[in-house]
Amino acid sequence: MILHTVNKSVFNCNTLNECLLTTARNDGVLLLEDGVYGALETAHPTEIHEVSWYVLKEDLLARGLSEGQCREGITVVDYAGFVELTEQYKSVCSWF
Amino acid sequence: MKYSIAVYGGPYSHQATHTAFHFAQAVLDKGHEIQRVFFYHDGIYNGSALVAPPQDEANLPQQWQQLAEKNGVELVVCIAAAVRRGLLDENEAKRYSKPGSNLEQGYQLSGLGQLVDAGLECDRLVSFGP
Repeated sequence: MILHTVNKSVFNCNTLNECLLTTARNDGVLLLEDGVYGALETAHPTEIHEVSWYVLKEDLLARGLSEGQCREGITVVDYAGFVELTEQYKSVCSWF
Repeated sequence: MKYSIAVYGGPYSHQATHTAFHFAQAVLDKGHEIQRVFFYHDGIYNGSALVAPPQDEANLPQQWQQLAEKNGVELVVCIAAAVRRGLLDENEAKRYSKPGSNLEQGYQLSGLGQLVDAGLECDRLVSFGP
């Protein structure tokens, strides 16, 4: 039950894929900062384990992206939701 | 819950400090406690008293200071990371015979042990990198 945060774009960094090599079932991945590009329909990160996907709303909007452009199955959260995720998961691992 | 936050990214060069600050506010809004914010690597620039951004831009060192003062949060700057980047308190300025010190009020220089301690003592340690 680890929440992984990824702040790099999947289009120019391998950070998200490296993160996914370590994730286990029941883990969550929160995409923030430039990491939000990984939530797009056009991004195809390798998915080795089933994880829950989240994306930070403020960082999506700051980049001119909308919730409608995100892949199905990704939950959009705001900062309050981010905090709730850190309550829910036992620890937080930041990838940067 | 008791939280601590680690900031590795410098202000005005990466989003890390902004994200960390917004997260810290959201944590406090939810009624949690933040024990410590630990500034490491380029994150130490958050503790500079000489930061002078344009008036219409956020003054992050000052915002941390206000948040810390209001909520009893420790602002700890890694001493090794700070001194090699030219961020000194009065003691270190004397030790290295430098003409002045520039650590902002409300921040303290301390060792990496404070980050380890935050990881052990707090329910959650959340890091924000460059």
